[in-house]
Amino acid sequence: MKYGELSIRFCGIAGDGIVSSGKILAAACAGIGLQVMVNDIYSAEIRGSGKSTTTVRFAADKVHSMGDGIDLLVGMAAKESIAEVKDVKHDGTVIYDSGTPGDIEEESSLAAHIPPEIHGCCIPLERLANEASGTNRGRNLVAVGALCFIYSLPPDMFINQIKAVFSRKGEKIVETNIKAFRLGYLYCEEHYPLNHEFEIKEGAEPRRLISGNEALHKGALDCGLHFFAGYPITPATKIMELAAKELPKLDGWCIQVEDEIAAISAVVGASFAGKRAMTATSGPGLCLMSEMINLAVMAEIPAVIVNVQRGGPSTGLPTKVEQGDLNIALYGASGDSPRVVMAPTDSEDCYSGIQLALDLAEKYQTPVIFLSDLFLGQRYETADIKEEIDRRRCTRKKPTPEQLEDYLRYRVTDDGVSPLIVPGERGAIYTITGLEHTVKGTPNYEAEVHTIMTAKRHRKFESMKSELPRADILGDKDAQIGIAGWGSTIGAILEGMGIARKQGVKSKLIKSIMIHPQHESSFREFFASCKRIIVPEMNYQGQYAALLKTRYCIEPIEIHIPAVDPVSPGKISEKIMEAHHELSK
Amino acid sequence: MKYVIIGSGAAGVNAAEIIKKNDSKGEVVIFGDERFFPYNRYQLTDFLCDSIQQEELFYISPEFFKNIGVEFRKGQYVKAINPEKKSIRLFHNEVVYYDRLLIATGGRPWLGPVLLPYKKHIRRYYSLKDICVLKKKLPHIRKCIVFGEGLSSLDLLCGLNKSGKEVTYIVKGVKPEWPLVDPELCEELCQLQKKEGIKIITEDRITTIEKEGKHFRVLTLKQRELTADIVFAWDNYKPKISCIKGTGIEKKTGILVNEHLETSVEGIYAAGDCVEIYHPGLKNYWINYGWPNAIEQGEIAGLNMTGQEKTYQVHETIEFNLMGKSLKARWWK
Amino acid sequence: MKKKSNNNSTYVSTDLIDRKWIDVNIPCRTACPIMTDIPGYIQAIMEGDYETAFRINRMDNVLPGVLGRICNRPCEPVCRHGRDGLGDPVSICFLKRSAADFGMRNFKPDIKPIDKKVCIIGGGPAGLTAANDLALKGYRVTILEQFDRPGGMLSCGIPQFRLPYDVVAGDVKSITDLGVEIKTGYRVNNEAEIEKLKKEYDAVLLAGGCQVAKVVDIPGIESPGVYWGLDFMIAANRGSPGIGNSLVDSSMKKVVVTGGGFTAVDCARMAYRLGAKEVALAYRRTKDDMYVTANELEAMEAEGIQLAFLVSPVGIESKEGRVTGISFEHNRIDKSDRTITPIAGSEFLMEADSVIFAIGQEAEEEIIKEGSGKPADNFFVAGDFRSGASTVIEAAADGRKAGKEIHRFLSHSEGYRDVVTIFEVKETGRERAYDFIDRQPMDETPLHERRIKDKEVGLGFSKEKSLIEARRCYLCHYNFQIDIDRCIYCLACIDVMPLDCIMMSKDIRVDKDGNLHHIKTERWDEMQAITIDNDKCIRCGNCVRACPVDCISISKYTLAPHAWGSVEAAAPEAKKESFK
Repeated sequence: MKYGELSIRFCGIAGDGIVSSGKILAAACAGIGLQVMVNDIYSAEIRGSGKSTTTVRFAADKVHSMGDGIDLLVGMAAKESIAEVKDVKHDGTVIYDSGTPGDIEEESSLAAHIPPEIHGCCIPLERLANEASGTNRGRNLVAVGALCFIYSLPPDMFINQIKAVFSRKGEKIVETNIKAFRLGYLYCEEHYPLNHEFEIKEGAEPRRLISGNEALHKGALDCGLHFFAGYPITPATKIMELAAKELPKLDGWCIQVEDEIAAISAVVGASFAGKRAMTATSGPGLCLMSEMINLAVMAEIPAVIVNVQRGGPSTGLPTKVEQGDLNIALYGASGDSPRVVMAPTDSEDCYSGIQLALDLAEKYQTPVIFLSDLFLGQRYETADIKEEIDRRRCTRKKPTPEQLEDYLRYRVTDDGVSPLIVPGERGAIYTITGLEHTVKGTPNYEAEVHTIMTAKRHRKFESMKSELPRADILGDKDAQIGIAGWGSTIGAILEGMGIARKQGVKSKLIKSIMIHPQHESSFREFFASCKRIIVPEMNYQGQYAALLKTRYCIEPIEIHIPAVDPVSPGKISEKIMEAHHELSK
Repeated sequence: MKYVIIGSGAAGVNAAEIIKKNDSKGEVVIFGDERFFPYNRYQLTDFLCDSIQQEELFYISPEFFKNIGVEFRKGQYVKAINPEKKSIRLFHNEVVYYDRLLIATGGRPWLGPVLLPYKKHIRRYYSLKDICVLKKKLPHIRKCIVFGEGLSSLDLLCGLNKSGKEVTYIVKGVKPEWPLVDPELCEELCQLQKKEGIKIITEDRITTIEKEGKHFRVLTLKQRELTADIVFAWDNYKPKISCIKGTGIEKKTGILVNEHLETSVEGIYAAGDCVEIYHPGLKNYWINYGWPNAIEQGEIAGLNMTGQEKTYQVHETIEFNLMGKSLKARWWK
Repeated sequence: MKKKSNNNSTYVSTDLIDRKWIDVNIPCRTACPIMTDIPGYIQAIMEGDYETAFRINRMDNVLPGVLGRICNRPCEPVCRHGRDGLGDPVSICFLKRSAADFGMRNFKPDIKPIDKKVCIIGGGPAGLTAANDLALKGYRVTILEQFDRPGGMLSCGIPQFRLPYDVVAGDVKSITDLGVEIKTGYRVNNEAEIEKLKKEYDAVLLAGGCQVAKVVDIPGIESPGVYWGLDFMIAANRGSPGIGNSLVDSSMKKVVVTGGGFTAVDCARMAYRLGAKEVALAYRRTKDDMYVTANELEAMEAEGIQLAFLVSPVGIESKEGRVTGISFEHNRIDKSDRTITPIAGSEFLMEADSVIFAIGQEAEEEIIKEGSGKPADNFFVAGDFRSGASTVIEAAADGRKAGKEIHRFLSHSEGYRDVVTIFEVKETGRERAYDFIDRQPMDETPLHERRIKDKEVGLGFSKEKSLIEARRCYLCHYNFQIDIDRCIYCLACIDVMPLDCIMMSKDIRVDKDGNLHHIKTERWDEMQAITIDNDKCIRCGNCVRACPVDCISISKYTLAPHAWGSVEAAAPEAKKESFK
């Protein structure tokens, strides 16, 4: 069979090398110019026999989502992989191990659960790994070698990647891993000679793989992030890890503090002292931070809070994805407390979005909540990032010399933004407080003052709106079915639209990284041009739909998926088709 | 009651259907070692010559097993049987228990002690996999050597000849012989082959095969030295019954069964090409290769496994098998 | 009882558990009737020390050159390397041959002479082994051999294409070098002659073998062209007048051999070499019941010999004083007791101009009567003569047993006991990669030269090949144990085990035979220790390398050299204790 696109999943338990297999496969594919997306799913327990999977999807054209179904399942751990077989497409393949010690009972045998529509590929992974390395390690490389042959991918590229991944562990490890790869390749060549063809375009440029978290980190650094404070939490920890490594090299700071309250406090403090500052957390951390975010709103201090969303209320599902934090981001505060909420849709957005977030925070002296999610943050993909490096960037509004003569920290202006200087600079003598305050910053509880200051704080958002670019409209402009999505769901939506289009149904999508505020006229015009509006999102309540409904008075078809896995494009296309049938009635 | 069937050929599939008919509550599992759904082996050469498409080879639909309620596990090889524990062991060390077992593993071309050391240089011509691999290679080869008897050799010679290859055929006897009822047909075929340009070497056999670059150098017992781009060789076609090793199941060349097709071990039956049975007419033990027999034995074994009693009647003459028929048509096409 | 020797890392033990450990864990050695130290000599080959390899063989089984060629190899089917999923057994037999091919040296031990004379009737494997063992003890041994050269069946019953006579002569010489005298052409015919010998010598051992062919009585058996297997073999080997010459000269074209043992196969292959065009071997049972090694069968099939199973001869057809064919009937095999019964009306004829019956041999009855060889007497019986036709290695083992009996009789000693020597080592010298080497095939004479009568078929391993093959041996004489006092239960060993050989155990029970039973558990609260099941262990050393606290010890278990003369020397205290 010929393939133009493939989805390959490794499933195993801790220690099986699931993640590194995915990494090598993805990097090898990116190396030959393919577009790749990788998604890791693992259990919340740090150690032990939790199950983990890595899915790698690749094609010649842009991969927007993890798609539906997989072509190949590599069952490194038999018992755990049984549940994954249902995702394998008809005529797909399952690789299972025939080289493990001891008897296997029927119920825990992967082979026993492979229906006849799926091909089993029985490879003595463990035995071959032992042959290559003397131990069981390297089973994953045997499997990678096997799949390299099964889909006739170029082995050289894999060998380069193995070298790259393992070189820091020494020559011997590289050698044994390459041997394991070869043995897997040769075993398949001998026993399963009927391999598939994967069409590769000659001469494509190698691509770079990056995760959402990495892109976000890089974006922040490139636009002058100076200070990062945080407390580790899955799935945001990676951002801090990277900052800890990279920021000091640029004379910046990264500190790990005792909890999220301390983290946001430090960020607000650093920002108050004039530095670009950011923290990253996940839902539970955002809850803890809400009080200090409110202080930043009141005291008009820039701050960027990245929330890499995970599942469930409370500690919930630490290693699963959900888009359930939109409400807390928008509304989770006391008082009339406006803040900017942004949600990137892919790694490119993470890079440019975080730059915009930092710029907006500084320019409008307000906290920005940046809602990434686990799927987006952790997945690797080939991204076409346009780098914009300006580490000296500053978007703070400085006071004029006249204004400096009589410096008012909260001067009432037309756009709501008061000129800002950092304490310690000449003339910068002012109070900041969480209490309502006068233009000088001194506490004041008069109704009039509160009215003026509240209006001023909200006026900043009106000013911001006028500056926002139009939202993107994707798909067929003349379609009657419109979709509004946010965050990482966009990828699945785009793909779902593609599926529907293949069946002759057109649709279009409005995509905006800005959730609040938004370029509202884009939305109004878009909704006006649609006969049916679909709003899919990964939460139970329909949080984005609720926002759109109140804001634009629309009646959308809502798809609520309290998700633990990324949204399936098939589900989106189904809804598009349903909407289409309703329309054509 | 759990019925396990080893082999997804005509005998195994037919037995499964019969068992399910007679014991609808019984659990039936078939293990096939090939990665395909059951297909018509006798049409493989037609597929090789592109007269038919691969899909046309499959004689049952993928839904068939689901519809009759039989679990079909393809591409899974049974390596051993343990009659004491009433279990079988698969290649990947899975242990599957049975109450009744049917061995319907069929036959395979067998290399024999002389050719076995050269296994990696030898191409087989037996399964759909072999043909698919051969199809890929075919454009890159010119000279072929065929050594081996049986109807599949006729098929292969025909396929290669029709693809315009240069073929040398080596036989052990004084002339090529095939198990066809009609001796004249053999002679006719032989003449036709010579006319078609197939070079026939008699009273000789391959003793050594060496790889030299992209070619193979073949040495024969009579010190002939031949070269070819591809070598097909087998010693004979015989039952593939390695899984019964150590079980105490009596065998000669094939598995010995009684008239109810039960082997010497209780609860284990055998049917099809892997079975050897005494034939009073021939005054000899006899393996009835071929499709019609496989169907019939599958049915009888299936019935007996579900507690019916049906006796297998050995036929007075060997049936002219389907492969032969299609083959005749093919050569004279 | 375990006792530390002067050397800190060596122990000697007569403990039943240690002795049993060897039986269970070194399956090849246990399967060998003469308990050859197989891992011992293979390790020596692996280290390139062929002389040591030869010496170990020479001590244990006396005839390394011979047995390295024609042993029926009870060791190989039980080799741990041949277990499910582990590949093929080690070529133990071929390696023994390599030890002899490359390591054969003069064997000159110190012998303290004893002024007692032992006479051995029969110079075959049993007699030679007994002679060797007694000579090492210091006895003056004389062998009486009826043929003109020693070796018994080795030199006349086995064809030279399997066992060249030079090899037999070489092994025999190493025994005569110990002072054993061989009188050839000396035949003992009856009891009276034995009585005479009993007076002349302090002890007499009859190891006359089985020289008489078993016969069948079917119509036409007397026809010219019908031969008895052993006679045919002896004649073909030695070219004796009468039968021998006529055989070679005769124009045998179609030969049918009946029988299922080594002799039958040898006859068939000999007939092929004598020019027969078509040779068939017919056996009344099935291929699995044949008493020959797989490689003999393969060689026979490669040479084009046809096989017929489940057939019994019922009559010989002849015409004009010459056999024209042999008729058989088919057999049915009973499923309950595996007896065979003929199928009525199944007779058929196989054309043949020569028919060879090789259906077994018996001892010559007239030499002694039943009941001879009472314990008090100085007369002993050994080998095939005592136990019926068997194999070379079994005959040799029986010869050793008889030798021990004679020694006990003559020295009035009470007995001896096996002593296990245990050496602690740091590593075995093997690498994990060795486990994946394929069994090395031995080069053979090409098929077109197989008609040359005395040309040996098996050509032996080259030195290089023997080194590679030796590396395959797991060296099962190493015992891997976890010291539970030091184990930290990290399970690192379980992570890297190649089979399910290491487990969490709640108990290890030792039964009265010394067998160990590991009681496995998955529950931490029940677990008493992490243990290695040495029966499953393939000695790969993964666990030792993975252990972070170095709590896995390796020790080498060997039986003290089996030439039983040294047993007392190795552990005199052990002997005392065990016979209190």
